[in-house]
Amino acid sequence: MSKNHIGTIFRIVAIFICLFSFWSILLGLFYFIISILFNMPFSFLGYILVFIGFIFSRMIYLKY
Amino acid sequence: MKLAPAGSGLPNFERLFIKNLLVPTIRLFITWDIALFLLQRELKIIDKLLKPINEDLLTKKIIIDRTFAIEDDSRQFSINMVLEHLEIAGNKVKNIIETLSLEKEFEEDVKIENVKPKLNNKNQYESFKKFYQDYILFIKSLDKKQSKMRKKHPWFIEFNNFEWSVFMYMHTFIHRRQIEAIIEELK
Repeated sequence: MSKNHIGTIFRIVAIFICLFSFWSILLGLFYFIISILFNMPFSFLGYILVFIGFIFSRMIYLKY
Repeated sequence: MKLAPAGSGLPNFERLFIKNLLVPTIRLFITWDIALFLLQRELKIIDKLLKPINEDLLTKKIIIDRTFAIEDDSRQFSINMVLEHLEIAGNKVKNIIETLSLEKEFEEDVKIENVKPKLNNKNQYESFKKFYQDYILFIKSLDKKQSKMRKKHPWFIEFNNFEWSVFMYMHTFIHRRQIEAIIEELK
């Protein structure tokens, strides 16, 4: 396996981490704002549920 | 050195990794706009890579070690041949996206052998840039709705119009890495 080959796999993993972080932060902010606006408790479990819901909606309802 | 013929495909492990892991996960986190943004980023990187390269070196064929997701036959390309391949394959992808977006069937058979470069032209980069400008305008003007109609990629699975646009980014990225390997070999 060449250096370039390993570098490409490394970049693919980096792209994946960037995309994962991007959506995590975006959903986290969204959840945070909603919880403040509606005076809801902000919990980590709630955040995980929002994230799982997002993944499922992207898997099942991939319209846009 | 005898290379495997065009269309012989990727090693099984690599093909299965892309088909079963990369494609399903990437499509979850990418949208039309993210794919376009990443594609434009790749074009900027290619531009930066090619700026210091002498014009004669752009058409020089050189054998490199196989890079990720590149079949054996493509190891002997010049930089301009990679750009030509990106333009030919990109044109095909653009046509597929256009057809699938209209919920029509893309009847033409997609074959890897048919998108191989043939000319190794000196002024390939200009034509490459023109094509990608057109492609970006095309995607920007497209109604961003995922099609029900699909077209199978010869190596992977059936993609809808959105997945082909994500493929367009990944394909450009993979070949940008190939250009980097060629430049490294030319030094």
